[in-house]
Amino acid sequence: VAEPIDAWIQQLRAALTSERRLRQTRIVDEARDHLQLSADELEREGLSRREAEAKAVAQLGDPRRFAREFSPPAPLDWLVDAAA
Amino acid sequence: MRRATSESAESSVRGHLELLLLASLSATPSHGYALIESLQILSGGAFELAEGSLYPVLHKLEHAGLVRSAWDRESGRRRRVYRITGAGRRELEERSRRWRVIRDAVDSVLSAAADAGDAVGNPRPRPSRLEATGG
Repeated sequence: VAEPIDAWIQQLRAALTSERRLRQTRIVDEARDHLQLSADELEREGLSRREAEAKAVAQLGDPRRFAREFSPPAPLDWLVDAAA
Repeated sequence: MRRATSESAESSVRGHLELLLLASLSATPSHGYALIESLQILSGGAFELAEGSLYPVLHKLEHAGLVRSAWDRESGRRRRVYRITGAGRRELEERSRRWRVIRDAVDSVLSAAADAGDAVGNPRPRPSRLEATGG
């Protein structure tokens, strides 16, 4: 069974398939760095490593939603905006 | 360490996140995780940011040329550190000015409404901390 951070990162990678490789790598690396820092702090507060990782990924939220927030607006969004 | 945040408080913070991040980065360069903590501390604990919402906004600010970032090594670990640019400082000044105009106008309306309520004997509403700071 994959550790919580590794599992979360795998799901993020899968959700970022439409991003260019360089950008995908940066988003994934930055998210992993954030999760490790967060888990380290939670571990210092007394959680086991696995509990700390599980809580860290829960705080960062759903990986598919996280990936979606990086997506640029669809090409026709400006038309919808203009019509509003 | 972090407490749960209500949905309304969260959306209040999100609406001003770009301004808050520019302000925080104008004080010192920082990586994402530290930015979340500094916003919490600088707001006296009022602003609890959903962690997942931070990075897309940072990337957007960078795309707009308001911040720049680079990998840095701290305690042997690689971290993406963000710095405000000259354009970012100018944008911060302008957005701060606009925010003060809105804040003063909202305060003015609230005060006038409360005074009018006092005049007809209605109890004056007491704004909570987040309502007072989050807009």
